[in-house]
Amino acid sequence: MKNGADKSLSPKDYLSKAHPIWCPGCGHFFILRALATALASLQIPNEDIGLISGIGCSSRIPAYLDVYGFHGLHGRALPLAQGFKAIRPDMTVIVASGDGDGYSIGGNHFIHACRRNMNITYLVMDNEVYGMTKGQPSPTTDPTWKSKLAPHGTNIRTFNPLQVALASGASFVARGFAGDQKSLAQLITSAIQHEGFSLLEIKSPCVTFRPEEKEWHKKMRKLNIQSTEDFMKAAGNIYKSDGFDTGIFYQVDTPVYQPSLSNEKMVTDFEKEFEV
Amino acid sequence: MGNNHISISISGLGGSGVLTAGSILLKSVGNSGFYAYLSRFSGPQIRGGESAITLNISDKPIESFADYSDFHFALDWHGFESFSDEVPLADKSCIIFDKSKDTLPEMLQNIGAEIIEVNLKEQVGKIKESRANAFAIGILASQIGLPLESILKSLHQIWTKKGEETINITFQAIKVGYDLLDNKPSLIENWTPNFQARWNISGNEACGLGALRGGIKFVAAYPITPATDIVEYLSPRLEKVGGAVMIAEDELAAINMVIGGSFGGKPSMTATSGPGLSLMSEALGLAVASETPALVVNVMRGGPSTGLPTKSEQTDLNQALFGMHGEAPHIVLAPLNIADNVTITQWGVGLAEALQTLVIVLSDQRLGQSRAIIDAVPAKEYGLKRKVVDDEESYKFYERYALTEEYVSPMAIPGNKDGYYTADGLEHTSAGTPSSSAFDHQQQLKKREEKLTAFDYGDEWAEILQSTQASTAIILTWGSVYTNVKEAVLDLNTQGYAIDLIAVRLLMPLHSKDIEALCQNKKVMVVEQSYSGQFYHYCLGRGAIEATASSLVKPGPLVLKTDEIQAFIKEVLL
Repeated sequence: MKNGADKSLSPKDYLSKAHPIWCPGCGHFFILRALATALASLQIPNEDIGLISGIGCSSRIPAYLDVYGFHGLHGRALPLAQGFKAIRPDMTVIVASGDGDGYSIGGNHFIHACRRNMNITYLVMDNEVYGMTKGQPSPTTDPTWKSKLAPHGTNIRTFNPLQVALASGASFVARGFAGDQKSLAQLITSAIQHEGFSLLEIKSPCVTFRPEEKEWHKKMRKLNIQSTEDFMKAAGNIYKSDGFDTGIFYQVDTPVYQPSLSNEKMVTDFEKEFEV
Repeated sequence: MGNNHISISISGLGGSGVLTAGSILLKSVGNSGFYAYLSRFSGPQIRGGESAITLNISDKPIESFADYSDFHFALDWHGFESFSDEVPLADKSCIIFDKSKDTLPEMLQNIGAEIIEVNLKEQVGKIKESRANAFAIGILASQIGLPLESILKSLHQIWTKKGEETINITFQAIKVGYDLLDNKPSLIENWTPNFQARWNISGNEACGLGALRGGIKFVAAYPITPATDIVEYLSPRLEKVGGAVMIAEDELAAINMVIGGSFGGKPSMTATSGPGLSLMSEALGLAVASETPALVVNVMRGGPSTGLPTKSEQTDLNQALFGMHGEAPHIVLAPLNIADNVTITQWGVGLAEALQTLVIVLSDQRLGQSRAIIDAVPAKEYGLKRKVVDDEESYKFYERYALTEEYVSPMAIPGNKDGYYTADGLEHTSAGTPSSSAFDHQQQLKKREEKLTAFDYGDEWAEILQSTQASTAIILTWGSVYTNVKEAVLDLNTQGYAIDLIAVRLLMPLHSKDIEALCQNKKVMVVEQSYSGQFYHYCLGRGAIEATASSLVKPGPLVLKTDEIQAFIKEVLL
């Protein structure tokens, strides 16, 4: 047992010994460290954390932390996490996903997770490309970006996750940047502390397939967005944003879905209903 | 008729009260100390389509379809043609119908049945607020001799909230119906009533009760016919025994929620039907690979695609057995009757938990949506529990997928300080670390297979009926067709035949060796409700039977009746 009650937890206490499979320079390394920093700042015992993921570069993250993890199916991390949270409200539930996993194949679950507004933190590590399958355009990829799969670009408008989250009922909507680890740790901390479903979209450069994303650090604005409870104001800020603004766009206290578990009856009580 | 067995059917437009009449008669038969089996048939319409019920009554437990109806009551003849197989009428039938609605359909004019016309419009006019189906109940009750007191008792039991007035009006109409036709001698006079503990229960309710008995604490599901009843049964009850039901956005979500709940340490399940099972396939493999217990109850309907949503067929067998990519050993169970729905579902929960695997229970529309008076089903004690990392034990290096003697590894439940691990659908080492090495793959494949094949499933794997004489023939069957096959075999055996019967409950892993041994030196016949003979080919492929075995198949919604099963057997044995 390494977490004595008297000993405070440092970010290192959350990192496992496994070495990430990510490419050198990948933005995801910074997100991993920011997450460990956030968990340490909240002093959440390792065993009380459930980190659920789907498939993709991002989704490898559970194994890199000493917590309870589930590396599930492509696109299906949110339902798995919601089932887990429904029956284990005592756990801190964090979901890690990527732009393909979360916004494409898992798009329907994203909408409904926002609607349910369960107390879950959703970290989407968005590098605007499918990295694990080696460079295909995702829903957040610029329509003019040329690739083997789309030699002329996709010519399809990009998906705006913040708009969708807001419209679907998420009670915390934010954007962060992997390259600003300190601000990101703050945002992750706020997202975990928030009671309800928090979407934290994290811009994370893919240095291998989108080397131009290395320039993001020059463009991203540091926590320039003021949090608001005003839906219309938040919608305006999200709509106007060029994608380089960071901070909490929307945070509101609304009812959280959590099944109530009671033990007022025995199974044998129900058998009486069938008696002739 | 005969052998203390009466069959009734009722048909009419949806909303005309066909199912209500059937349910009241079923309950009344129960109140009289007898048994009954109510099946319902409907078209795909939500409201207003054609509907029919069959009700088989006996003084012994009964769950088979009759070869023909002794009495048929048509409240109207709307869409009756579409039930001509499910509601068989023959020369021995007595057909009663409301002539104020329709004339007798042409197809029934020359079958030689006794025809009785009544004018219910006239009767309804005499009793304010009365409905035609109440007169029909009375007429049918008078034809079989069902006592009026048992019906009055049913009305009080069913309509606790409707109030005395509704009950009085209905009963008045029933009494008028009772005296409308010439009194016939009671057909059930010499039957022996039984007032021991009996239940009035549908198969889907039975499945829900089995899940509760098994300790299910979490259900996630998406509505689908004919499985939704299970979730509707569980929803108000599970929340009172420390559990929860979640309505998923689709079946992909439902099964992943189930895996999440189970990962959280609680026995979890979903209920679905063919199209839903198709959508779940990928996650079923995840439950197998990550060794997360999960129960899926699949109430089969006709397929493929949207198929026959309201009608029964045993054709999701191949999918339940082989629907996953890669090699994904798991357990497939099938109940044989309504009582089995209780025990097999309970067993399924236990097996999923104890063996940390996926269990698919294959029920079907007939099993699920039929309702019967059956003997109360006693609770079973299977002693099957999930092996978990105990708080008392200390693990220096916890390995989630550690190899043990029985190939089942202790599972750490989140919250436990000693067992962090990442459950994974990627192939992994015994510690749970992703690995694509041939060694780890083979080790884990063997682990997942062996834990299922090495397990002792006991006698529950099949229902085996052996003829008292040295038998020369054996029937192999499964699922809802069992009740009629059993009736056919038992009857033939009283006629001097010597036929054995195996009805398989544990479809995977199949007890091939046991089946092979039981079939030794016998003519083997396989009976199932499919077109292509899925079960036959499965048994053949597993070496349980030989290619000389005969196959009787009939696709849904056609019902395999006792007389045609007997005709098939006789032909094979010629």
